[in-house]
Amino acid sequence: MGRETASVGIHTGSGCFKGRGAIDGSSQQVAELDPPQQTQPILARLGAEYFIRLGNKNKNNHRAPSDMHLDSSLAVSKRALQLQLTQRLLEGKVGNIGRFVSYAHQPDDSTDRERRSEEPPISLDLTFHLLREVLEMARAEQLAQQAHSNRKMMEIFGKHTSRSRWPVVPLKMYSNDHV
Amino acid sequence: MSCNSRAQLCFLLLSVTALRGQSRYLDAQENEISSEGLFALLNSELKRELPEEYVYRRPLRCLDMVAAEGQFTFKADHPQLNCAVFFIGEPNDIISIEYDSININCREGDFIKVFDGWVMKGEKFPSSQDHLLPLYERYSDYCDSGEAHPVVRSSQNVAMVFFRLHQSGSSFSITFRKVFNPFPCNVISQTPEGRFSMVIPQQHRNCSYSIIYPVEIQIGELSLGHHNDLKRSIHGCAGARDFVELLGGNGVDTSKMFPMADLCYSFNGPVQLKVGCDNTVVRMVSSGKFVNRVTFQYRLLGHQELAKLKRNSVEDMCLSG
Repeated sequence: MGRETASVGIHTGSGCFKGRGAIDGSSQQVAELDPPQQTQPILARLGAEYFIRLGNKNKNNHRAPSDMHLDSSLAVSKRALQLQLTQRLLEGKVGNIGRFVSYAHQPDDSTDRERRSEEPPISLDLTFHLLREVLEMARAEQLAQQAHSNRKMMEIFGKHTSRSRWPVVPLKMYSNDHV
Repeated sequence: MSCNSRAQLCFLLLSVTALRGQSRYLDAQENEISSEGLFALLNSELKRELPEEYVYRRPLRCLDMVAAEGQFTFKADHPQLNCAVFFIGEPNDIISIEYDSININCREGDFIKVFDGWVMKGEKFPSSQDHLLPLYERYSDYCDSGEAHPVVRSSQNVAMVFFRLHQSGSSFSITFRKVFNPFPCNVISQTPEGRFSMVIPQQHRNCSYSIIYPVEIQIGELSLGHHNDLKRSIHGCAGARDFVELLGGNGVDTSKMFPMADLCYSFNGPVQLKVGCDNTVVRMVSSGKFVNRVTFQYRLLGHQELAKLKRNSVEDMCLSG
């Protein structure tokens, strides 16, 4: 069974034209992961680029309406798998993280600082794709933490104001048939 | 302190805190402002935090991105030679990194360095043209100056920490805080959609707003000085010293990106441009003579739009339309 592949992500190869060469380049190491029921994901590594290859290569295929439900659930599962892989990457379970960090030269001579080139001494070789992934994860963490923190604040100030000495004005309620 | 002067001092404090919008922190329980309350109020940064037990804490990873304030601890269970953490805040924040407890061996070659900006694939944001400090001053090394200066602040809403630990068992803890910045210059957007108003108040500097997605940008208003300050030139924007440019590129360094549009006279009413690049930047160049302001919003380009841009473009660089 010929299984075709396509790259997924927010920008599937139709971004900046310059970048396409790297995307369509030859593959190097390939590691297989636990396959979900319908598709078999393959994590391919091209230099410093990570792509998830799933499903049907020909994304320009004209799809029948009955396939739309399958498409959306497939898209969701692709996305969930992608985030999971990024999470595993960050935890160091996939490949060597240190590969991403490169050093132009070691800054050790303070007198040379003025003449040092504009090349930053330490750099990180991430693709934009991976950068966006980790950014989205960090943002989700921040929003969850903000919500948690707001709840805590409300609890603290709630306890605080209940002990305040603001006078309580008793409300008089008049019913409609009161003369 | 006499009763009268204390009352005057309290009144002054009330006025100051009311103007700063922090009167809600006054403890009105005993109808008196305690002395702890007095000093705590004047330290606005202290009051932005929750009590100690509510500080967010989590372990730091060798490759990490952090957007939430809190305390982050890295423990090396094996030698970790190449680690980098990105920090990002809202556009109106600057990053503050404080060294809490550091257990590393500087003599053995361990280091923790804070970089004022982001570095990716050899390129840095903000670029040297847009940042006020030279490159070597943008790195702070704990082993050189960490003891004397335990708090490092960035100049914009992004910063990075690079570290190397040779021995298992080494560890360090840092606290990440965000500090309000009323006039942000140089921002990386956390989201592919949003809106922003960049103001350069009579400063001779260049500021970039970077969106690391292909987006459609809509510029709602551009104000370069007053209406009659800058005349429209028939020669385009060549020679203009106050202008806004839209850039597109595949890296984070704005000086290596391609200009998509130049705007050098004030206008109202939307100007739209789609930029099909990995990085889209709105950059304002300011001479310092005027107060310059640009207001814009942006949204992510979909697959179809990107495909259409590619079909309609003949140039071998970032696509625009």
